[in-house]
Amino acid sequence: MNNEREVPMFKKWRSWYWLVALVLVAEIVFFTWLTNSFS
Amino acid sequence: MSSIDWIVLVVTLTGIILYGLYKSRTEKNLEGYFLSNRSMPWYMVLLSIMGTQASAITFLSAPGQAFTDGMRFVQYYFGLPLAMIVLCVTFVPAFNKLKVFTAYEFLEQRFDGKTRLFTAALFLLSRGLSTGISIYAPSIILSSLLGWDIYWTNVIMGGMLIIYTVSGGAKAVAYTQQLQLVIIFLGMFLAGYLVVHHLPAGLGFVDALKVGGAAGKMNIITSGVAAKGGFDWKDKYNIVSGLIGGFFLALSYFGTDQSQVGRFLTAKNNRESRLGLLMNGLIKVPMQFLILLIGVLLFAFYQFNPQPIFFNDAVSAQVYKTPYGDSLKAVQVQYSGVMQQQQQHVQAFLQADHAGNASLKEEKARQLQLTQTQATVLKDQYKKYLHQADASIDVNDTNYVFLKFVVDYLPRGLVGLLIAIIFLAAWGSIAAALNSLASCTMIDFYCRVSKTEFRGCEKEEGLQQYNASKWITMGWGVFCIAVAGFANRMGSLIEAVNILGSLFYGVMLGIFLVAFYLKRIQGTATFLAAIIAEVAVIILFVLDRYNITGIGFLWFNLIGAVLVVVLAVLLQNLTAKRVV
Repeated sequence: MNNEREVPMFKKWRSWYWLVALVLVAEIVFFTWLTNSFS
Repeated sequence: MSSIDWIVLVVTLTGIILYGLYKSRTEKNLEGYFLSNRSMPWYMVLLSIMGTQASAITFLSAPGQAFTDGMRFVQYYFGLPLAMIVLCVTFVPAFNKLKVFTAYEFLEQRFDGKTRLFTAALFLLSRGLSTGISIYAPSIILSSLLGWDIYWTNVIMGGMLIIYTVSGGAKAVAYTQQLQLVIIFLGMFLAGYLVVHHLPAGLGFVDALKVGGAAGKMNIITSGVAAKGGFDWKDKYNIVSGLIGGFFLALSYFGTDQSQVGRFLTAKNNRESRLGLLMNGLIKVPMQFLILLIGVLLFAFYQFNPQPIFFNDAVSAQVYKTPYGDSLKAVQVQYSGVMQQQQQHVQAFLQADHAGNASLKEEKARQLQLTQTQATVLKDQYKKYLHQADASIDVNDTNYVFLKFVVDYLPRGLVGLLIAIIFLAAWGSIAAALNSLASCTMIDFYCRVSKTEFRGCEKEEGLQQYNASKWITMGWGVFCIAVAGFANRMGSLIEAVNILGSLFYGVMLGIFLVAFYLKRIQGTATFLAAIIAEVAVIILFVLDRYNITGIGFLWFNLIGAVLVVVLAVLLQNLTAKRVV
């Protein structure tokens, strides 16, 4: 497991990192909508 | 508490201890005891990370926070998912590649022994003291609300978990945290459901949110821009401070605090560590949102039921006996009047909403906010009298809001379950803290100073180290309970934990940032930079205490980290020139 080179590793995991970041953006959008809808 | 509650409480707690003991079988060496032989799948890593971060105060404080200040606290967690990504890119592969036992062991390989020992000492100091406070904080709430003896509550809160933590090490900690979280989520979901269930007939979840929203409790996203314009730097929770401050705090907590690093080092490989951390990044914000939502539901609930002016009855009862009792009564009478008015506005607001009368709805929402402001003024007046009667009283009743509802309104049996949840949440984070304190003491101090080899050693030697680690874990447990015994002199406890963390975390993060991102900086420059930065942070803290400067303690994280990085670069350049 420790022989993986970091640059390929980053690429391999890049879609996961995007997913986490996009879910955060989606949450912020959803929370903004909730804030505006209920205030 | 009724006898059914006692049975539920005792059975749940005993069950967890027995389960912990059952899962205690591990290889009798340091890798088995501290890292579960690096065998954990990602979901165990995830649950262990979550169980370590979520202390009893998380579940007690968050609903109360939303009840008084609204949902905006959730923004504090926005930086966490981003920190998880940075951890996966940099920290995880670096730690796993060197197969370190502790985060600080990595620092010796990158820098030198003194930087490692200094950082490890900062960790032991801050984590040792804050774990003591994490024992005391839920204990004082339970003892105050249920009339329990604080000494014994502390001992049970901090002592029972020692049984499985000492015997089973990291493996028992992870397995019990898994079960604890399942029970905690089940209990919190039931509590949330019952709050809605207790609303008057015909009103439901969405109505509760509408009432909360009308009173300004659904302020989930706030910009941090002050009413006069310009960014308000004193505003603690807004999207900017949440993303930036929350990012640095999460990065330092998950990347440099052994109580968290020790959790993801138990993973089978890089993949499992990464998945555990990234899943935590996906789950944490919604989870915190749902816990906070209970506070908004509680707010709606108390619009149809008598709302106490102060949620810690024991303190009120104590001050009622003093000459301030009459003043308290007078404020209480005024408050009841305001609350009656508020309840009428809420009912009119909901009727207007159901009838689709937008202008009346808006008018009633405005009146509701007005009475809300009046109620806050009266609450502050009440707290002022409490403080005048006895300056040592903690006038912050946020942590009592949720538990008082539980004790007053939930059915028998469920009260016992929710009290058990407070214990389980506390045990999860304290057990991980004790395990990490012991691993740091054993690996970074005992083995390092005595130059004892702990990798691949003979079976008998491994057994000796394993037994010594058990004693060290026990020792830290006793130390933390002793700290809990003195914690009542520390004032506001959550603030005390945050201040303690902020004093050291920034510098620790700075050291790791230099280690990962500034490859040409060497050990001595980093070590000196860290010492100067730590002294500077402590001086800033003292100046802030004496009101000479006005820097809030949350900024110490950022200041400490930036100071270490800048000073390390300067010192490295200085020494490099000398050598030339």
